[in-house]
Amino acid sequence: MSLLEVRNLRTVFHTEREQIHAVDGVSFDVDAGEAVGLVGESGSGKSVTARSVLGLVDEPGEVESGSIQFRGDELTDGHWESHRGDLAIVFQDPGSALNPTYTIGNQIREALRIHQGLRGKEARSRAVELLEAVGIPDPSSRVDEYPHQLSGGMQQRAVIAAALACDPDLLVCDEPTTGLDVTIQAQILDLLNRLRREEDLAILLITHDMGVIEETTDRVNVVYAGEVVERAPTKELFDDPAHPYTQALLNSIPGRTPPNERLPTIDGEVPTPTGSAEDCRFAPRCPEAGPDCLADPPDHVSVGTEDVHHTAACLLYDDRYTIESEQL
Amino acid sequence: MTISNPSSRIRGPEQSNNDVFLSVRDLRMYYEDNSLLNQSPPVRAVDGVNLDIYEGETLALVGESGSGKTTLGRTILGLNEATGGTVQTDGRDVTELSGVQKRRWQREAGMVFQDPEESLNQRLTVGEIIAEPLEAHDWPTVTAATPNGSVTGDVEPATDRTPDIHVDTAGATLTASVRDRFPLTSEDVTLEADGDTVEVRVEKSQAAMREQRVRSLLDRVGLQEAHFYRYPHQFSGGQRQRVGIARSLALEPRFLVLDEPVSALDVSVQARIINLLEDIQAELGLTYLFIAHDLSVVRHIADRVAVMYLGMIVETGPTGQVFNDPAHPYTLSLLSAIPGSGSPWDGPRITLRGTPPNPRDPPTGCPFATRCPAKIRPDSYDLPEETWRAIDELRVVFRTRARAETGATNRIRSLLDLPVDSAALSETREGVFGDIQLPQGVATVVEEAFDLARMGDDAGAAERLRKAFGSRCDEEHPESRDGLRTNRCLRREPQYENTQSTIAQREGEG
Repeated sequence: MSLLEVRNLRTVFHTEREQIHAVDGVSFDVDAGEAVGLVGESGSGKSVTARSVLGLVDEPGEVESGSIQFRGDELTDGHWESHRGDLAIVFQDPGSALNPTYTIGNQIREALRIHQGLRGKEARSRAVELLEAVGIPDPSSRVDEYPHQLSGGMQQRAVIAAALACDPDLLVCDEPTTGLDVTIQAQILDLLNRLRREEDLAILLITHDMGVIEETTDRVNVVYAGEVVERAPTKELFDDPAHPYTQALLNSIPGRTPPNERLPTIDGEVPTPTGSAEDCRFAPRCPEAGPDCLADPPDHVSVGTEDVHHTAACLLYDDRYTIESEQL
Repeated sequence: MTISNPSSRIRGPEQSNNDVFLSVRDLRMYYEDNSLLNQSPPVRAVDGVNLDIYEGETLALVGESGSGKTTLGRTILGLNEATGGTVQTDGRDVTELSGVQKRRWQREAGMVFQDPEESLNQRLTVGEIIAEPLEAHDWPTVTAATPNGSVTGDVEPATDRTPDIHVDTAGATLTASVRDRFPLTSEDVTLEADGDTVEVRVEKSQAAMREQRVRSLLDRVGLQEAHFYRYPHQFSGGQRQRVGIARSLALEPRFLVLDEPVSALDVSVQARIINLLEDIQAELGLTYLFIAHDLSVVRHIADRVAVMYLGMIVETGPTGQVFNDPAHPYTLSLLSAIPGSGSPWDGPRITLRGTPPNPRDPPTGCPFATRCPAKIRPDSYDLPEETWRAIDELRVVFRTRARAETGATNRIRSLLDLPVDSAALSETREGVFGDIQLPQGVATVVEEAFDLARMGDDAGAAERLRKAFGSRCDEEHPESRDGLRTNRCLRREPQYENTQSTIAQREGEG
């Protein structure tokens, strides 16, 4: 049994005009101590997926159907409260995750009081320990500082420290390093890797940055317009991407094209998924699409070798279809 | 929305024979906030920059946030007033310009901003946004020239730029030709000779010319005719950035400062904007100063790279050389921090400790010395790398404490000559040194520093450590020498081992 099992998750936002299926049938697993990535462009629904897992979706959105199991307990049946503290989330912007009017120590102690029942001196010394664990130098004086006195990287460490205060088994990180400098990003990624190793913490990492995915995760799910289009072990995905969207996304990263060549691009925009999928949502932009692609929503089929779990939701790999395409 | 005619790129020179377009010398830009109550020293955002930008190249400016990249770009454009130094182009110092001269420079040089959402006025249509600079600069003032004689009428005589209308007097009839990309045709022009003088009449209003200019710009950046009347909020991020680019091109600049133009965009959109910028540069022969922190983008787009740290340029060179053979420890640290397979450095990952020093109070000597993984060590001690790093870290802690406002109780205690928060200091000692065994001589100095800190003199404690364990790096910051490849690290001197092997060795040890 996986630590977290998400099956057919569907999160819908009701607007006056239409229903937006921000997350439309997403399934993935996270095992204990494992780092799993959700990667996609803005509007792909990856952040809504993260919020859905933690039960943080508010009106006008709702988790419409699907199952989210944590240690076998169905969270959507109202079990979020009993696992509050087993799952924690770190958001992109540490400046807005911290309350500017309380000291760093105050905010960590609050989490310690709620989740661990620690108070007073005990809570303070645990807060200092946590700050030290996330690599904040001179933690015993930093614990009394306010968020504005810390740099962006230090603020993000403090947020991670507060998230660790509830001693979670799964840390959901939503773009944890976006907006940070590359050197500070390296420090935060090192920290996440260390926490995984030393605390056996599972990490669900949500990002648009392929480099961060490559650096940090064991397995990765590529999300497009509310759906997972490809899942694979990280190295396998980078060495041998199967879905045309994954291929196009990787190709458009500047480092993979020689400097004097034009960057390959994907025409068009990410569509907003309204209604249920009736076709492949990438088909209108796909260089390899055929008529069948617009007729049926594709299922995940295996594209890896026997012992590698690598699947893609693309008719190119589905034996029931033959896609006529010049590129093949 | 791909560009139909992918023109081949003009790559800037690896070994430049091109002319220098712009030459920055000892440029300084300090932010002062001298209010009555605040007497703190100025923020040295740009602190003695020397830099040449060659005609037609893309020079990338990289560095962490707060290193002064944007301020440098803005100061070159005259949007910030320089505190000192010069920016020479076309034989004049643009930091000294005012009035008409300054406005002319601001037509020649434009800027594209990072966040198109914030930089576009939400209440104006796209057509109005792009036309704004045209109106502000009363564009166009039509210029004309004729080979042997003068011009009158609706036009100004051409001076330094290519004339908009060229009047050919060969033969009996006068013929007018209009330069490329100018919103007029020869049918809009009537000519009449009066001796050597040609009277030129333009039958098209300024407003009509502006509108045509805006429409051609929309087309140039890959937007559609119909977008003219739309508002920024109706566009995606990539389209908004295209509007920003169109606006920056409106006055036909020769030079653009691109301030993180693709940082806020998704990777697939980013690729399209990068291609657009490269096409425009090739077509119009523009010179780019490309400010970025994403090094894989820089590697793709730039001909040369300048690396900035704490208001100073620490290394410059052709892109390939800087990426494959970085000379300055800071450059190497930046490259090694690129996540995933994008990093050209295959040695162990260098994780820089801490953050850059405060630009109000930059360290003496090399600005990077407080975090440098290749810092030169004094000969007087032979210590393991781990111990050196702990000592450096302790010094940073003391410096930070000296700058930070200490709590009220601590201030009172130090006024009363009572020891300061000694429990916290012991924790600091434990945190920094852990179970590192210090040799006798070192331990004595460290104890002296802690004694000073206990009496509230954190600055003195930091100074004690610097005196004992500092090196040339804490005293000197060598100037950059002229040339395409510059490096302000002392390790360029022959008696020192070079940066790369030093780091490879130390990281292996540490």
